Amino acid sequence: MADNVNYETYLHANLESYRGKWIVIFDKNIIAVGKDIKKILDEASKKHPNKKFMLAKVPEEGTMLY
Amino acid sequence: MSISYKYKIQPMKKGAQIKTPSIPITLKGNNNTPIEVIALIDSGADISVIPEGIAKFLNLNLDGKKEKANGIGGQISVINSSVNVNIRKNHENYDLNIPVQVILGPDEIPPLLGRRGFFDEFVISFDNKNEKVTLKKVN
Repeated sequence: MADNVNYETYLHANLESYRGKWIVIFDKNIIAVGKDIKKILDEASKKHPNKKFMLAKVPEEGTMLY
Repeated sequence: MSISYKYKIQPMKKGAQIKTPSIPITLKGNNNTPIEVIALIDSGADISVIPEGIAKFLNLNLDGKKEKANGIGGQISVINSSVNVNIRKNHENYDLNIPVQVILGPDEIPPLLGRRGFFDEFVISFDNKNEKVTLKKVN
């Protein structure tokens, strides 16, 4: 495992069930999911105060053009 | 010296896959809580962007004038700001302060690393065949 556990978790996880949503990863687990970043970061902070999380947006189904 | 990241491969319906040159970066703002985010490297973006939810979490200065920015999805409201970015992998460790446009409204767009401020700092190679992106710091 590389030195960034959260990133390795993101890289290898099948995130299909979270399409279109934001996820918060901590210590190899997805600990919060939703569409509102503040809400899920608050939720994550309550579960694990003062920890550094990883936040990622899971793409929607279909081609993404920004 | 350079650092490489594998593309994120996300299975979709009917056996399709989305492969994205996304990298982990740590954003630091005016609070004491940095956050690591997955950011999409986007050579088509003039400047980096972040959603409002991240800007508020980091307590970034959002006092600037609202502007309009244009994308393929139409016109959106943004505020110009800046954010500290740390990129670290193995023995490589880079700290940058880059300009960003904060996208106002619902948190729909992931952080995008655009040309101004970010591409200025690296030679960036996209290797689609081998599904990896490489950043080489410009001296």
